[in-house]
Amino acid sequence: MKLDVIAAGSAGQGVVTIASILARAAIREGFDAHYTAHSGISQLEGSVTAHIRIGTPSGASPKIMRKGADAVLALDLLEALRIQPWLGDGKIAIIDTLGHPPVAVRASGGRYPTREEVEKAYAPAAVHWIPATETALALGAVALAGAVMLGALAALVPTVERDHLVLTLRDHYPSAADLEVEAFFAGYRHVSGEDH
Amino acid sequence: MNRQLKEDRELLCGSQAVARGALEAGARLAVGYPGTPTTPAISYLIDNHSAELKSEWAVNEKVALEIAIGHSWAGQASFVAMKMSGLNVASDPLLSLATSGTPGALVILVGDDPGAYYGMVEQDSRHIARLAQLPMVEPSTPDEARRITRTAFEVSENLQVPILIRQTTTTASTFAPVLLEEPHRTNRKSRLPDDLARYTKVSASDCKRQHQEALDRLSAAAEALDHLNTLVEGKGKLGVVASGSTWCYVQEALERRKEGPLKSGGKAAHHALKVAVVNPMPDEKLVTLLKSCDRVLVIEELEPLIEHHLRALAFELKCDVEIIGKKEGHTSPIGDLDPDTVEAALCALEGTAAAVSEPAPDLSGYAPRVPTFCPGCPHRSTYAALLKAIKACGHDPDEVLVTGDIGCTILGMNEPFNLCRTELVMGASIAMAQGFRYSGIRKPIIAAIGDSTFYHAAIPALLNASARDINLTVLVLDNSCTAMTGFQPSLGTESKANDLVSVPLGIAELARAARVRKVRRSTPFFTNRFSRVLSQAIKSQGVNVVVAEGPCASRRLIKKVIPYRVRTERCIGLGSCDPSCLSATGCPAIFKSEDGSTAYIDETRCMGCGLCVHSCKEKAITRKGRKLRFKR
Repeated sequence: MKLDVIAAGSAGQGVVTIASILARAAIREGFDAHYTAHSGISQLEGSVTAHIRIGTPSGASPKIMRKGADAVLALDLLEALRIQPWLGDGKIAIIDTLGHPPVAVRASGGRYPTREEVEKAYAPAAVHWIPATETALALGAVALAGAVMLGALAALVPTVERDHLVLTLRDHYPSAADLEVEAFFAGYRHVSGEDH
Repeated sequence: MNRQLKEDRELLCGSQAVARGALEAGARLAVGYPGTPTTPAISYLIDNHSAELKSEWAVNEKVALEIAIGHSWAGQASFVAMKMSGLNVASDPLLSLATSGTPGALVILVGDDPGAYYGMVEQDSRHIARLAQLPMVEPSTPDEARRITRTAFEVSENLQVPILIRQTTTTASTFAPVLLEEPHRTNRKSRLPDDLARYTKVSASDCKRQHQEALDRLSAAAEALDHLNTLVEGKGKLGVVASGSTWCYVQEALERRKEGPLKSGGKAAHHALKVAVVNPMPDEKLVTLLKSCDRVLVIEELEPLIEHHLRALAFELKCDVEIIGKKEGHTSPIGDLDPDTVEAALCALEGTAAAVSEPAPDLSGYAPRVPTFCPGCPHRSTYAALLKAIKACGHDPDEVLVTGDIGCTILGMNEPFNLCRTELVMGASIAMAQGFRYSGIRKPIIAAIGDSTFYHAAIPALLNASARDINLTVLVLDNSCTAMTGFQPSLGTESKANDLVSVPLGIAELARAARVRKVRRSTPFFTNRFSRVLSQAIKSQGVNVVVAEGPCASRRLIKKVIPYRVRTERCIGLGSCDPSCLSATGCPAIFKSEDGSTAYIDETRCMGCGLCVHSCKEKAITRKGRKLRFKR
């Protein structure tokens, strides 16, 4: 059993946190897990990619090979295009509908990928569009988008059990645990359609 | 935080694991200067401080290493961590230390950044180990990093040799479960150094003897550390040599070929050697490998050091072995490597065709993702005021030189400010400005530098410029921390953490002591007033220092925010406004409204700095209503 996931987004969106929660939840469940993420630069807008490897064993390499990811999570449409070569054939792409267009796009009208362009790049793989940023903003904080994406991942790829992810989320954010879990289940329900 | 892990394991990144190893080995002092990718090492020890282990940030890497040398020369175990640029700053004491050795253990962690993920030079610090004639080890995984560090402390203590540990961005920022063991406790009395022939460098004969002793220590260390290098026996006549993260890629590639894990005792698809001691190289194991192979592939990031050494060995032994590596173009000396490149290189070794990967989507047509200041950042307001001041002084911003410096402050080079033109090393902005002035440039010259960078290396440059009375404005952007690496305290930060009381130092005090013509302090959030202060400084003669004092907005010190909002009835829309609030500030909290007719400020992102108010000609931005938002 193995699960290789690539998460990407722009700095400040919580990509590193997604990686950390996914790896900790997997370890909690008894898997071996490790992840590589570039953290440390705290300004906004830079691109961030994390490679999360889960399994027994989880593999020696810290990085995933091209076409080797079982799932890609993108919180941004431009980053979704950047990580497309890593998605394996017939595997799952989970992408945020809104993304985080760079300031240059908003200020001076630079080009930002459309959903159709992303879908074309990912074809024949189907893209699961998740309104993560939208849901997070409705719940009151854009930082909750990561939890929505994790909820969607739990519904689509059951390798790491949903409940372990929820408990790890609670551990990670004791002060805002209820909101995080609400965001998680919003993502989960968006995919599965069922109530928890 | 790690409750879900087994009690004796913790999910640590590579550099935290090295720090954990230092803690377990019984280090009594940990000191460093923040620099990605090794920042988490000292941070981890500061978070896990105890009566036995004192951990702190120093003003720069040279000072950090000198503190540790003093501590080790008193017989106590010390640990130092820095990034590659820091090791350059500390290289002067390092080279002297190498010839004297150390009676107490001293281990230095250095982080290289192949791929330049965090900016700066793609430097291969293995060269510095060779230059200093010091042993250098390079772990591949976090748990190995912890074990190697423990061994390094042991060898350092026994052989009185300082040891360097090198990590690259990939090994330093990989998080994996790390076994935790009980720290080793030492309670040794400190002693005074009493051997002039060893601890001073006046007499030539002493220096030459010290040089010989350094070489002796290096070869003794090579023997003591040799068990860290792993030679895996293979089936055929092909061999692979790798080190650091590239060993992990090779390991997995060999496992794919064997369809099972590589176990000790079993034979791998090819002979393989993991070089964990990168200086001096494991000659004996390299020779064994050469003798059992027809072709050997060398995989290493950056410089082909192992490759050159192996070629020299093969030539010396007159071995008829074909060595392939960077010379043949299988891997590049630029950037970091990945498992795909390693797989392709292995296929080239085997003479098989590698799978051709599909072309990646072309991203060149899209707007690039350029790092920008966070919402509420005082630096954004500072640069907006500087732009205004330059115009108010009657200059075209394109004709005014702003020399930039390391850290968040360099982002003044990007849109919408386009001010900073140069970035060299920590603290270089001031001395470079002096050089530009000497070159005959008559227009105003402004050196823009952050507070931590100023303390780190700019003080001598300021003294120098002040002594020569150069016409120069020094703009210090003081946000009271080292923000880019994660808000570590600078000398200007008041802190009582970990029982280390530090008296905050003022940049203005230091500048006055340097006898600059005038020192001005102001807060950049009042942009109009601040730009007037800057105009005065730019118009004045001699060195003028302006300190922009505003706290870092991302440091989570701000608990309450009154966000701004756009009055839709007044806003004429981002498209018809030039410059608009967004194009003038570049603030990531400003968006287009859903129907696109007006601007919209995201209340959850806005930090209430108010810069957009000044840039709105329609007076459409207010914070009427006083709606408080509590940050979590």
